Amino acid sequence: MYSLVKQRDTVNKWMERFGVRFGIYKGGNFLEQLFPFDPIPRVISHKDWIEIEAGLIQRVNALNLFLEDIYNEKRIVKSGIIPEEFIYSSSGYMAQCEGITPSKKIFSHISGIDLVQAKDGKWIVLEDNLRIPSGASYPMIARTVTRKISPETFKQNAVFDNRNYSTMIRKAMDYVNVDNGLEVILTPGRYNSAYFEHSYLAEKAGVILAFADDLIVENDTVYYKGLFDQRERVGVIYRRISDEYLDPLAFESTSLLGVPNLMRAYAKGNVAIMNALGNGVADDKGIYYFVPKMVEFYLGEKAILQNAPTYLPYFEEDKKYVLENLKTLVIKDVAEAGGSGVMFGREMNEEQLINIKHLIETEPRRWIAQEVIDFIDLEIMDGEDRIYRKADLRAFVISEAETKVWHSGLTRYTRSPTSFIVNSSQGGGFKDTWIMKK
Amino acid sequence: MQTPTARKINSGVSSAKANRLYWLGRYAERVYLTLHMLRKHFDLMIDEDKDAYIIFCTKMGVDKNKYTSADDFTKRYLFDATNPESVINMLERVKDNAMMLREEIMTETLCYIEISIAYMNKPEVQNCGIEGLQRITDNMLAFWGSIDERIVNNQIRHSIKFGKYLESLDLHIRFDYPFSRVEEIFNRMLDSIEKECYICNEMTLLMLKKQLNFDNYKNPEVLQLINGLFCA
Repeated sequence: MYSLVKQRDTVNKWMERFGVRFGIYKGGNFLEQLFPFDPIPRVISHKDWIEIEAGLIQRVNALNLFLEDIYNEKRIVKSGIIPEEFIYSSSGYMAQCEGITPSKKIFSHISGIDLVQAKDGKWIVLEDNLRIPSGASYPMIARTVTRKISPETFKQNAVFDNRNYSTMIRKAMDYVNVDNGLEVILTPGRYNSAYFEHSYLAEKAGVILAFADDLIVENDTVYYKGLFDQRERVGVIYRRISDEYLDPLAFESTSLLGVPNLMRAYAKGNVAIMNALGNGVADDKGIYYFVPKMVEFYLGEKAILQNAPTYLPYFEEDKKYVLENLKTLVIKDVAEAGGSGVMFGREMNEEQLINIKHLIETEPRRWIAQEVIDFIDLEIMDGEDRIYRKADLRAFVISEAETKVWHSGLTRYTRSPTSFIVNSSQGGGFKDTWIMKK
Repeated sequence: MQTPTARKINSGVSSAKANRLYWLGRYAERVYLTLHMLRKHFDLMIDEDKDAYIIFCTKMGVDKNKYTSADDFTKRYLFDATNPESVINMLERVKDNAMMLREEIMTETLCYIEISIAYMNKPEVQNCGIEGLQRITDNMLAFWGSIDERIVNNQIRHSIKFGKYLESLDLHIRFDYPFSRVEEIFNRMLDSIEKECYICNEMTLLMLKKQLNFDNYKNPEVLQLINGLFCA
């Protein structure tokens, strides 16, 4: 691994050569920047992985069953396990999806589950991302580069290959494809922060990268518009556009990114959409609290992976605890994502604490509070020095005929010595994630 | 073992994609040929005509009064990203189209554009003027080689090459190349069109075939026909 660490600059030059970037908006301007890569991988032992893998499969299976239930029978609500208010007040719940069961009954085809490893070695789930989880392309291309420049590293270490991610995506697309139509990745365009990933996955999966104008819905069927008005039926869309922008006639009417009447084609079962619409209800930060209960309810099993200790101010008892212990907790706004709306009580001044207390009292459903997990620091290179920074892991779970976990993941680290927030949009970098074969 | 890239089962070409393929070919060829033409004019500027850059501007249809001197021209025409007609901007336009076509042209082809832009943005390269840009020419040749080698879909490849030859025709005529050379390029373009290229307006092509001859090829109407060939 020494040679890999020594060649960090070479790796980053290859990344530049391959155009590995992500976009951010600053002051109203779109900027593309390289996603800083740290050459020291996160290494997960085979033994740890077996447990993580089993836990992730179990969790995603339960979440898929929850989504099917919530848009149909709602047994989990009727059983009193989740208060109905948590469903209907969730910004991710879509009434338009009621009664719709997607192709092969899969709602979350690609799930990004964010985990951290506590200092006692336990892996803890911080967040489920069931809408458009992104980031897998970065470790995938990083591995392509690192194997090229430091082959001895991989001769000496038995690491699972991770370059099969696009093949896994393609198999999931093949599995749900309706009537053997075209397979497309629908991108909002090159000014999206994850555009590199959209185009790279389309290349590696061997599917069409489509823009909104390339698709049209006629007679409740989606077509790719070829030259001179030719039409080719589309069977599956791996969309990288949020629900609300996907169809201007069904949702946000000002959206130029979506395809008019796509919702009608989807509701009739004439096209598969990956991930399904309405999944946001399951990765709502408030619903997160209930995921271990979902595992028990749908699968009759104890959850293998635990959540971070979480409190819902919606419940009086929890609210009392949260208000009394604000200074030691992390408070999250359930409507925010990407590291926004996350506040550490210990970093707030008196005025801010009074303000957040008031908000929790007046809008309890909007907030969750969690104990701060003292998760492990990972070594990263800072010039010639090795320093330690907080890092999480986004594991990717693919659901097709079976549920499978990609043998890698996106390890993101914070660049600030005091920060716990690792999101790339907040200036963090990434590492490769090695899953050991034995 | 590395998992092979999944075989592509579909290869739709929408009119927007056809447009990108065509402009990718045009801009990429414009970068390559502009550098070629520039070198010829910079050669003249050594000891024959210090203002040869003005001739270049006139032929390219660039406002000759925009640049105050040969030095000003060298800096701004080559490297000024805020100058819409500069070479670095041509490369950015290649990249704009190439990025939207990554799944067709592949990362290994796109990277020749990425490294060219990164190279041109280096201060030490900008200080060298055109002498430092042989690497861009080499990269563009590698780009075209990669297009030929990696794109197996004939429609995609020939659509890009249609744009390339069309740009080449345009520039060779503007720079007064002999008819025999222009005819060679035209024949290569016809070869692409006859294979699997569906973005050429057949009526315009018929008219161009009639007009493109030894006596007439420098007529402005011919340039107009060439630039009206694309349709999608």
